[in-house]
Amino acid sequence: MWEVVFDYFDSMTPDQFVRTYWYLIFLELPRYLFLDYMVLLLYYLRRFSMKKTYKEAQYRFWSESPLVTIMAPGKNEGKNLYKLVKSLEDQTYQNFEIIIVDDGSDDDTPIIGNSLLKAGLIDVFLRNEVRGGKASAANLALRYSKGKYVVHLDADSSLDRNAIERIITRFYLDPEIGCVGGNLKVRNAKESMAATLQAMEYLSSISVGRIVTSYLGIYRIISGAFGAFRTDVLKRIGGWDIGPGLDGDVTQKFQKLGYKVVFEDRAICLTSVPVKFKTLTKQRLRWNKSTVRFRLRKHIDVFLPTANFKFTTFFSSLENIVFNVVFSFLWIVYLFDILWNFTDTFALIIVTKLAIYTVISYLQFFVLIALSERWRSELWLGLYIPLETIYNGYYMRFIRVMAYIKEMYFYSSYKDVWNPAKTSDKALDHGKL
Amino acid sequence: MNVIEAFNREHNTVHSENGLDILFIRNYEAVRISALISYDVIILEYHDPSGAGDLLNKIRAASYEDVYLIPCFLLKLDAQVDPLHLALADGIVERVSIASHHSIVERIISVKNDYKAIKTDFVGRQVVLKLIRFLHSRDIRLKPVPSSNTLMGYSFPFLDANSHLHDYQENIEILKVSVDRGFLSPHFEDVVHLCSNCGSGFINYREVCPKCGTRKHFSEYSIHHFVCGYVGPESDFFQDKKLVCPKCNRQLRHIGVDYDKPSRISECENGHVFQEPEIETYCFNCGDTNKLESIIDYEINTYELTATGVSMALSGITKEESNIEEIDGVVSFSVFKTLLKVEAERRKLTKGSVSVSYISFLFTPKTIKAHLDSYDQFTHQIAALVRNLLQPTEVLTLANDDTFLVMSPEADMKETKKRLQELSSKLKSVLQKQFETTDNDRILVDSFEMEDKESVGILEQINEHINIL
Ligand SMILES: [Zn+2]
Ligand SMILES: [Zn+2]
Ligand SMILES: [Zn+2]
Repeated sequence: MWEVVFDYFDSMTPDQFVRTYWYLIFLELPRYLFLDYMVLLLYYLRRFSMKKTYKEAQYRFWSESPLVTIMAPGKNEGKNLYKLVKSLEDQTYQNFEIIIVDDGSDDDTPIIGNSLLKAGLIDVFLRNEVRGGKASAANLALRYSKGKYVVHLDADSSLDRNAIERIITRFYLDPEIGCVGGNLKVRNAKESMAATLQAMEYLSSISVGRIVTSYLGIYRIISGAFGAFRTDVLKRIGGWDIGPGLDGDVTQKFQKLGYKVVFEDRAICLTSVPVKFKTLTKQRLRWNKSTVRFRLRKHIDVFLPTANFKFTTFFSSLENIVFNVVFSFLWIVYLFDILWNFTDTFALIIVTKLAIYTVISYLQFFVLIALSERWRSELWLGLYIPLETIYNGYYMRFIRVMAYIKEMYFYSSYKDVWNPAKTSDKALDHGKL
Repeated sequence: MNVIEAFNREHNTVHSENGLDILFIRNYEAVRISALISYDVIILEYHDPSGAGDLLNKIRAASYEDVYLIPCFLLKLDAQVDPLHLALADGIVERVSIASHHSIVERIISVKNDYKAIKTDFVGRQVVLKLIRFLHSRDIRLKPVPSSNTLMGYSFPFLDANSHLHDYQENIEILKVSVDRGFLSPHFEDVVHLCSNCGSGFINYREVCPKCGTRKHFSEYSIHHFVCGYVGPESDFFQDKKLVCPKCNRQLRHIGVDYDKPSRISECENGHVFQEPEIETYCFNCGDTNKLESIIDYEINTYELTATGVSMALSGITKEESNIEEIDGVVSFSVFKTLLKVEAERRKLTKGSVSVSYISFLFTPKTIKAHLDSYDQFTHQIAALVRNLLQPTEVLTLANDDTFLVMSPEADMKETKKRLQELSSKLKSVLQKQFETTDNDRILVDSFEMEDKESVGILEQINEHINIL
């Protein structure tokens, strides 16, 4: 058995090796290993050199102490609200108002919300008797926001003690910053295999990806789970458009207006992820469909040489499309390529690829663990790295391709039950918003 | 009837019908309550409603059975009879005759005579016995009368006539005691919402901002524009007479199709945003602002006399003859009156002065409740305390449940007044120590000098301040 493997590699010329593993060598290694970790290194070097500047920004922030609006719109989130509010009560920065929007819940949420309001734990509780969707709930909260900055949270998340301070400080580092994304970590990592794998994913690819794109100025999506926005700009663009992918959409609008969009990895938010692969699949299909809907359809103008043309916006969209859409289709091409041309050794190639990924993943993992503020509680995730390579390399890729095809050819996000039909129908009528 | 007399309101006249003496009252001022004992029936000319009401109240508040149970009719003239007054009377007559009410008059008089023949062993608040006897003698129910003059919105005129300062809580307490002891059974009529501070039902329900409590806020529907996801109050969309979305500038056309109104949102003058205003109550009577939860829901009932109530009305030894005399130095009210007469005679001879003072206790329902089971004992203990604080020559009696009378022979009026004031504050602190009463339990004292030659006069003078007769 091992001799077969040995013979296989022994007899392979460098040319053959490149021919067999072209996807790995030309696409994945440069992107996910060299580029990412080069940038990561640069990022930490810069952060170290900017310590004094950061301290000054912090000082400016604290001396101004602006009012921050924290909003958490959602449906049937009542059970999560108390935990969220408690984590806000414990924040190092306290000058904030909390607006909770209950978007047509059919459970105890109205009762819980009103009792939190009575207890003075939240400032505003608004309920829509009829569900309007996530965007409209967030827009309602925005309409009554009084803060200089708006922090958008998912109701089922909770924050590290210094998260608000960290995320808002970023605005004081650079006046051109329009919105800041926070770093998400998985709270329920031990609940199931799916959750564990997502915890790994958030720790490595998602977090690193965001640090890198943010460093390069092409950070794309501020997650609705934890993001901060300049209220004036957010109001100017009219808040969120109807989803899915409303997070990416609103970020894109900030970029179009010339504001910087950055990621703050030290502002940490714990969030609950889907526990079952089935729900996870649905969630990711939705996320990936939005790439097509918003990058290729709604905001295609960023590629056109109009008056508003900006290189960063252009690259940001280009990076998104290339690394997601193009890479995914190339991956299919690659799979067919080896299946067709290397049929005999197909299994061996797949295994070899997995082995290589696993080694690389361990290298990445230890770097990230060394940099993590809660590495003790994350170390155990290392056990799941071999599985993680399958999760990232096959499962996620497959979903991505599925989503792109569905959305490109069938406009399926407009039929998504995640939005009430009334809003989706209207969006479709009005030229594929 | 003499024609001249008939048009002369100065005079009250006595008529005789079926062997009954009927006093026809036209001049309210000329009536002496205690003198009503001499008549069987009263007919009151209803030419001055408020004066007639006052007189009716005085009659029903009297202590003597012969007075407070006396059959009393209203001779209706032009004025509408106030339901509150009608509840205190036994009916309306068109002329000075009781022919139309013969049977009720018979019943009242016969029952009243029964009462005289027997003595009840009733213990507790005198008013309860009076109420029971009033209802029994007439064979009626106690009905609440809607009235904007009372705080609750409903009045029990007989109880109001008999309560100190028209204290509603006292009435509530009396009714509760009567029901608890099985004398009366309640029949539901209505629920009133009362101020927990003063018992008034005249309450304004205000919607206030839950954050700052301001009354000044306005609410608007919020509009959700489906196409662009914008949500805001209706006013954000007003443009000329159209609704135009401020985000995407499209005109709103058809509710339910391109937009809807998912909620109603209020904003206060201080910029607080909310959907459910807090309800605050404002009492017009005492000015108390409070939460809605503080409002007392009080059940208004009609009360029917039970069999127990009837037998109580007819049995035993009366309260006035009860063992109050067992306390050294406390005389019965009748002895007191005799002594007062003697003093009045003496005064004529010696030109000495005699003053009579009252010491009246206005206990809160809480205090009354605490001592309800042994109210007599409680009264005795208080009587002993009062006695200790008086001078040896002074005579003390219990005029009714909670009012003591003190006769001070040959004392200077001013000095007596001052001494009694001191006595009352001493008493107050002793009560607070011994019986855990509070500042809300009040003690009223006042002194009067005997001016005319008749001893009854001074009691009537006192009666104007506080019901004792
Ligand atoms: Zn307010
Ligand atoms: Zn609109
Ligand atoms: Zn009041």
